[in-house]
Amino acid sequence: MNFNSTLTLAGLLSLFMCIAACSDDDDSGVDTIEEPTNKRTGFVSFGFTSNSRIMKYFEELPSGVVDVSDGTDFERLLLSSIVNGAILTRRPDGSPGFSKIVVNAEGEFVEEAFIPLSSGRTVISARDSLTGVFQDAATPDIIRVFNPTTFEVTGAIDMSAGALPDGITRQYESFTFRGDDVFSPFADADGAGLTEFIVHQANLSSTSFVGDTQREGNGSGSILTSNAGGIDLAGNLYIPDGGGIEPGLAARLNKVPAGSNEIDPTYIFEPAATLNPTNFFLPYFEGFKILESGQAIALVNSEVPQQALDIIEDAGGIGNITAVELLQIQGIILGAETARWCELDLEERTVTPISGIPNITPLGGGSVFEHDGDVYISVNTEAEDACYRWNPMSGTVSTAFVMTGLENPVFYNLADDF
Amino acid sequence: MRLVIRNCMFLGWMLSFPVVYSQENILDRKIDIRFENLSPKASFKKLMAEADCYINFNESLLPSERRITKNYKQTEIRTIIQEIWGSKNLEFLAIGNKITIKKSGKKNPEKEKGNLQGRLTDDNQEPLPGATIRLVGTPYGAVTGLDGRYELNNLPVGTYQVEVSSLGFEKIAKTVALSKDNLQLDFTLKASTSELEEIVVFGKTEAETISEEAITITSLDIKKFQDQAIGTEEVLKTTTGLVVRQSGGLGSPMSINLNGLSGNAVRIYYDGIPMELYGNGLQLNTIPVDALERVDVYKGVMPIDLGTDALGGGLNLVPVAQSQDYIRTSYSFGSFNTHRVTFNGLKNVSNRVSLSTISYFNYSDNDYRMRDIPNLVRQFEEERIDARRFHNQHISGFVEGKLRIKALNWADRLEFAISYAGIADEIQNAGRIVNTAIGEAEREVKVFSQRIDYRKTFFKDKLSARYFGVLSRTVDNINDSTTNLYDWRGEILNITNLGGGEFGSASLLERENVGTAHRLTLNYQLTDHIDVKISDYYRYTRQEGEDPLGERIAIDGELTDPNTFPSTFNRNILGAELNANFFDDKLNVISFVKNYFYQAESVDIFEISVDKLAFSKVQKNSNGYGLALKYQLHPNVFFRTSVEQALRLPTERELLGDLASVVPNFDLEPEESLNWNLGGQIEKRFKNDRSILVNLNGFIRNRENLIRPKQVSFDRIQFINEAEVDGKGIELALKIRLLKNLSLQGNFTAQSNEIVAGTDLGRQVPNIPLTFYNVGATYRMEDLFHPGNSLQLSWTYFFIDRFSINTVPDLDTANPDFIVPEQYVHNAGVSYTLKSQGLAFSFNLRNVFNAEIFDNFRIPRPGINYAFKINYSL
Repeated sequence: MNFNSTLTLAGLLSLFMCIAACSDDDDSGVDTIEEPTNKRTGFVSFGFTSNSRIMKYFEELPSGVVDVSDGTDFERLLLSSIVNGAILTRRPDGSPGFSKIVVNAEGEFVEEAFIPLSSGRTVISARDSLTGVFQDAATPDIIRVFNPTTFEVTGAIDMSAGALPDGITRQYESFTFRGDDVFSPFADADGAGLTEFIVHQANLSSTSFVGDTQREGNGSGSILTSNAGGIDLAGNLYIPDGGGIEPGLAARLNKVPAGSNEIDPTYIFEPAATLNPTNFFLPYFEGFKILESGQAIALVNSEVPQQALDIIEDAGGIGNITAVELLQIQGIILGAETARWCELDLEERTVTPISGIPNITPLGGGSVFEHDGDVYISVNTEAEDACYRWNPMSGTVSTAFVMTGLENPVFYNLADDF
Repeated sequence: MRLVIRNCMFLGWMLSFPVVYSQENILDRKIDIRFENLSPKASFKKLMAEADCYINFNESLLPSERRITKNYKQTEIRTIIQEIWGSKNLEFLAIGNKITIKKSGKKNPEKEKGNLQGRLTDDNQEPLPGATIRLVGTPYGAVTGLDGRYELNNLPVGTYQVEVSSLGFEKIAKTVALSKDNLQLDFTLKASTSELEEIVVFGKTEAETISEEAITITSLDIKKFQDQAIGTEEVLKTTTGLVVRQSGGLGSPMSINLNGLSGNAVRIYYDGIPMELYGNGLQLNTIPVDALERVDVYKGVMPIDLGTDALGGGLNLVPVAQSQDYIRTSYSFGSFNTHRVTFNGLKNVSNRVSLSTISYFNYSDNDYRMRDIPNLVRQFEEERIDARRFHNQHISGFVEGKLRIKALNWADRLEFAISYAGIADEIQNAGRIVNTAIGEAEREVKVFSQRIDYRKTFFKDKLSARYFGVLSRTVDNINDSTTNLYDWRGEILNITNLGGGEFGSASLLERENVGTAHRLTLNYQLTDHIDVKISDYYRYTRQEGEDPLGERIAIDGELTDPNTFPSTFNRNILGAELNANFFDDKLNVISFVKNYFYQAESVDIFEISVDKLAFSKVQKNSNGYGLALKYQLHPNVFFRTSVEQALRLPTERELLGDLASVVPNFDLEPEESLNWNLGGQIEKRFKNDRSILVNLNGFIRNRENLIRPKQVSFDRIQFINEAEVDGKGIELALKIRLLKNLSLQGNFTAQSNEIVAGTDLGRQVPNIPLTFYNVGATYRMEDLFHPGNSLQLSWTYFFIDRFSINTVPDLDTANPDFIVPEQYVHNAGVSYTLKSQGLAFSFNLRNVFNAEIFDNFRIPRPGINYAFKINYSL
């Protein structure tokens, strides 16, 4: 055996010893880092056929015209939240409860875990990969805390001390997180009209009820939006309501100043009424989002369609319209493309339409996500279904891509949690 | 003692049903009838209509070139038939009002014919009415009249074994030599438990005849399944183009998919009356085969005197209709504690008046086992288990009494019928299987209806009129208010159902629906070859009720139950039809137009802050049309095509909303469909009763303005017109009689229902299989163990191709979680008939290999299960 051979043998033995030693370490429970097998980045389209929902995964943001119809079909699905690449949704087979759907390494959608419930219409929201909340309709007084990674229920917060109008069964409509606190407005689970906009607050660390706060001007009938609020760079919390379902009560952005737990009664910002004070029939906005830059956007209904105004005029005024005419007007308003994506100045309380993005219907707010400094907004109009790219710094707007093949398709960014 | 027994038996009959036998030989009946330059076939048709009888004959043997012009006065039917045919060289078999004609193969029959006649009495020398005389091994037979007399004429000379039987008496058989002279043969029967002999009528059945009309109809002869322990819905599954969807066991909600159309697009009628008039009290899957004569499946094109607003066709369930006295009862029991009892009968009180009844009772626990379903164990914990369905009991019953009067001066036939139907159901998860079960919710439906049916011909029978009217009252109760929540093990979960109600919002709804429907049909014979028909159908319904737990609306500051305000619905469908025959009746052409009118009125829940109720009213008027052609190329070959621009009017709920989550849409237009059928049939008969029948049919169903729900506000939907679907398919029905006792059949359907507008462009309508077929074999052994007894073995195999419950572009790339897999189901049956005793026993096995099978939206269906049935008839 020559020197080289001896050296080679020694090297091989050393390598074997290293491998053996490493193996021993593994066996003794030393932590190792596993490569994630599920996608944490990429994009997902979501849209409807007449009776089902389709999701499709895209490794990269598409361009041009993209067919989104050849994705994976689900019977029922309602995306509530995206956290760490996982999609939190109602269960896809229609069973009550929530599912965690991930995109595996092959780009396939896999139901990784689920939380079964016994009934109903509830929402789920994740603050981060370790903490989230939902409400179980069977125990409406309780907000459940869960771990979005393991999808296990980890705690319960008794909210029964919160203000509640008589005869109302609370159904929390959205959850907005501020540190360890979560704020949630509610509606009535049985669909009764609510004349108050009340927000309950809980603390996730202590799993305890904190308090409640109400909108100034309660007393008129109101509807509640399911859109969550947001926090600006100064730490102020904004929670939108939906205004009145009957004409007259404008939807408002309710501000809870930093350090406070109460809605500021002096802060009155009604984006639809601000954009067009004559929009008396449905002064509504939705899709409120505060961007990483601190800028805020929302879909704001801008006007009453002329066709509806004609009916009112023909009837001799809004006080004279009949039930059938009211029904007609409702149909016209909900179907008219009168809502505009706008930039909201939360301090100045001004509304600036983002030019270049087409108008859509008042309830047609699609998804909004950020990617590489741009904001992508999905819009669904009679003419097209498209995703528009808006650069908040330059104000430029362009069509990122057009979607075909599904009804009301929207796009999500797996890397942009909400 | 025997007299006591006999009197007791008769007393029993009289208590259950007043039976007295009065049977005339229909061939001997004398009638007045007039023919004017009619073909033999048309003459038979007229004879059947006027003599209220049914005549089986082989059309290919008819001398089609003959024209008959004659005015008969009080002439025997036998003589009329012979003269129509132009020959006395005919053999007859007459059972009740059914006559089978065979052309005798013998030459010079007059020289070889004889007559047999006589009288039957019991051992007290009392006449025995209704007794059966049969010449064993021949098609000849007769039934004694009120005086116990019988007569068999024109019998070929020879030696016969004469078999005589009557219920409650011992059967007698005697060999006699019949010469060309009259032979008097009297019998005296001794009391026993022996029962009537049933004689099989051969030839083309009524269902087969109807299936060969110009309009594409598949008529299912339900009578031949009457001995079997199966439901009507199971017979329907063996036809082409039709998928029966059930969401559970006996009595569970079901729907029919016909040539790709389902739901309200396919109308179901009971004896020509839209089934919805009976509320939910009468359902296709609660009606036993014993209650039906046949089911006529109208594929896409509906005749004006039956159709209403059926977009994709309809099913007419024809109840048993006999004119001779009979009693038939059956009892079956089977898996899942299922029991079914039927009792039907008819009694001719006189030559003009008869009474009849159809009745049934169903009971089932429907507790079949489901595999691998989700079950909530406790809050946030779910398991997969095999669970037995519970709280799924079904009880239903129906009884109808009918009085028929014939040959009045002002009515050829007049019928009055009264019926009662009831259903009591424990409600179980039906739409889809979720992780909790329903443990307490119940539903009850009671329907009371009255019906009148009048028929009369005028102007020397050139004008025939038929009117029927129905008045029904339905009371619907729903009890769904518990706050308990059940798992699939039947245990109450430690979770409170806060809102109450297990399959929706809590409800204690009681709703009354009063409806009436009327149809008048006039048919005028313009010439021997051209008929004109007009038919008008009118229906009115009024619905109101109360629900102490339901939604409330504010009226003048008061919360009011909107169910207490009535909603009404009027619809009228007027049709006109021209029916013409050309080329010696080889070409039949039917063209028709229809006008649809409806008007609806309901309280409007959108009236806000009003001092009085606001009622909304809407009315629409639409037209449809159709054409059917049939060409008889050869007595055994025909081609046909039919087309209809069909409409379906919106339902009350689609139009008026439901006072809760569905918003009215008074602008809703009817759904439209252009339905086209093209097909033909070849039938070939061979020696030794072997035959083959091939029926091939292609169809197109192009639908527009399909109604679908659309979300119009935060929590409400509205039905709108939107979708368009192009449907097409091909159906093949095969019937092969390989041997006299062995027959095979196959029904194959391949179809496509492509969405051609909107977002789903290019996709198939979901939840409908594109390919399905069934093949079956029946083997019959005659005279097994005892002369006249028979054993029948049957096997049917069903295949349903996979389909998705979602709208997907391609099944191969679709999410497998939502694909209903291929299904292979085998059913088997055996029945043994003791003809002389009027008894039949049957045993049926379904899903023989215990395959995992599904229905609509992947609802688990039962594994292997059985039913045993005993039938008894007089």
